[in-house]
Amino acid sequence: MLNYKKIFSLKPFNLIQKDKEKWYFRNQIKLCNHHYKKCEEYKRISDRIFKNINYCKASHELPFVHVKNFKEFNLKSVKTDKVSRTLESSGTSNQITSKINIDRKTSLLQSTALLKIFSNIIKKKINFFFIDNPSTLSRLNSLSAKNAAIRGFSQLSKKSKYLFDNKNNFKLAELYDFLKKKPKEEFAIFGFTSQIWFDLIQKIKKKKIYFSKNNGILIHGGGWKKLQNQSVNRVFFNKNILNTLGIKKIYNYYGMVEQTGSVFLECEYGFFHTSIFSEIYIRDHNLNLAPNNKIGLIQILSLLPLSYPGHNLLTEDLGLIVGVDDCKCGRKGKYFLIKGRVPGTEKRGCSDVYE
Amino acid sequence: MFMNKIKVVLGKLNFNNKTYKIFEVKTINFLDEVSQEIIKNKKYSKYTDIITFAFFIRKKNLVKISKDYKNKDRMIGRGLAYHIAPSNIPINSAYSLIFGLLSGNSNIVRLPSKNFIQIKLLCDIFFKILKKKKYLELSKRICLIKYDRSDEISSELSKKADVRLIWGGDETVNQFQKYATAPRCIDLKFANRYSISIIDVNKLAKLSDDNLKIIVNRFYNDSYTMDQKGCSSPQALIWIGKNKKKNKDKFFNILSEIADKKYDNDLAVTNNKISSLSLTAIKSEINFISQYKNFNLMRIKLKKISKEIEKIHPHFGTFVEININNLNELNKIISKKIQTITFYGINKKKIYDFVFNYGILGVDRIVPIGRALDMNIEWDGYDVIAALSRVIGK
Repeated sequence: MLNYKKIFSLKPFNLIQKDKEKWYFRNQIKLCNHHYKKCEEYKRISDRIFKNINYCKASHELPFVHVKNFKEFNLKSVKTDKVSRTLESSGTSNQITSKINIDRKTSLLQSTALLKIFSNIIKKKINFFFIDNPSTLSRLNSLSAKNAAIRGFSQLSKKSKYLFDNKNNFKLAELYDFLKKKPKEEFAIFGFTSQIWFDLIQKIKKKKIYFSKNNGILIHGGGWKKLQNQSVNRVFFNKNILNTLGIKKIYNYYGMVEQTGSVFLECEYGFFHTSIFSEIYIRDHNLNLAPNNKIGLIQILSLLPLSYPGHNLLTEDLGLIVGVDDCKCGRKGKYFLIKGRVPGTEKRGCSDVYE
Repeated sequence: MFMNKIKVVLGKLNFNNKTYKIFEVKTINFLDEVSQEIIKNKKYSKYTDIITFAFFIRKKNLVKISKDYKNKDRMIGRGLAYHIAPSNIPINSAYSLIFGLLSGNSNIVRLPSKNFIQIKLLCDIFFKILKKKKYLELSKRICLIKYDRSDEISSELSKKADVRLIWGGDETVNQFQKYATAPRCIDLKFANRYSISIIDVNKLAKLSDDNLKIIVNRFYNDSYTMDQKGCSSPQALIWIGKNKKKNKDKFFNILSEIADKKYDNDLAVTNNKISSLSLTAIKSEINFISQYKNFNLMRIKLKKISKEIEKIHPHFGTFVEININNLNELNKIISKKIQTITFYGINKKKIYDFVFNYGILGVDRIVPIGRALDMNIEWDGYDVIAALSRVIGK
């Protein structure tokens, strides 16, 4: 198995791509073999669609799972009694939700990785404010990706506060009181991008309680889809955060419920970065690797999932790789942009009809 | 009142209490006028489905077809035909309608909700010609409607129907079976089907490159059109004869080249193709390996022959390959679900003989490669005209 102690001893954004590749492949192929042995579905995909894992010479040749498969099947690489909780995707607009089976070990790896990634921007323990209510965390068995994130962030926090109570009443006073007492202290706010926009920012505007500039850090993820309908982009979003919350340091991240923990942090220049836990490939219409700056399907890899085959995923997101090792922010490895989701295909043929 | 929720696209929602002889002259003349209108006007030429339809409804062709009906002078429509057209193939609504007309019925056609340009164009032509005084009575036999999925409307129309044509696969058939119909009402049910292509690899080997290209091009049209999702699109390719890898590879290389030029293999298609392949890989109880050079053409090679092939649903240019030594081995593959066999290099009679000798439960159509998608009066095992009409005994 993988030597996670060693993996976690490395700095998450310091490895240049050339050095990373062989090291990453060695670890990823072990993970592939683990899932191949433990997960019948993954074995079938590997045997029937891909070449033999042991003939693969680089990570991009290894067998991947399509994200849809997590909606169609209950995939796991551990015995059912080892599954400590099942993450579910938020499942917007009548989609079937994905089910991700997590055991204790995977859960620990995920929160540790999240901690490592965000240690890059949060150097010491600080106060955290979550855009959520405390009851979500107490629901033990069925958890969302957000809750997994909250668990991870809790390890970076001196004190955790929720900005909503159990009846979903807004508790802005918590933040207000904190800043009144300690206006210069570092703190962090975490929530889903859409919740920050629709719940937090809009409510602040409504109540007209604006905050002056402070040392807060805003961390958000979960996608822009709902915001794009209202033409809210990153620049507009960030400007509004500054004007309402007084926060300048804003970090977005890209991640999937299937790869909780090994998220892709967006840097100060607006690019998402791979960490040592993750890797990204962009696939063209022939499933070949697309050259840099060319839009394709996003494939993401993670070293964390042990209890389910989420280590190598073809997503339905579109994106492009901007560059490697040379982002102005100084982080090494590949950096990329997200360009929305792949459209559905037009329905054709004799069946699936009557509409 | 349910009728208020129906949008009438053409004609009137009245229920005619009269029926007509099959292949009635007036109907044929009308369809011939429609045909001429389409053929003479260049604006339709880019719609190959409309053009094919126009040729089908030419007087000459219809008269020829009518000659197959030896009892046609004793055959008459059943009354009111209620058509539930499939939502994905625009021209199918038109064929369903004319089957209803030629068999002497009055017709209510539920059109797909999507606004297909082909349907709009055809409606305009029908409207223009039906306005003519001589077609006044005929115009009362055509009513094209649209409505949002509604149990109320579908069940009311089902009650009134003397015959229903239910296109759209298993789901739609099951849905409409829930609605009560008159005891004598007849249903033509078009369920989900599976189609295959049989090629004699030795005959293929003898073809010149140019002739091979022609055959492959026909195969391309049968399969890639409609993303291989038509019920008559070949999903499995049965190779007959000695296993000649070289010739098969050549066939697929040419097919891939054609697809490269003609098929819109965008990221959406790629995404759907790989996700459905993964789904199949996980679900299928038959072992297989898949192979591709260019992702626009995926070959699925089965480890053993089985009737289970019908459970593998390849789309977007994915082909299940099976090798057999002689036609009789088809017996191991063909289930009730098999609809169309397209063939090359095999004597058609031998395929018929095979079906009869083994008493095969599947196979409703045997046509040469290139004609998989041609609509016809004989479809899915029905003689549609005969099924939609009554024969007056003597």
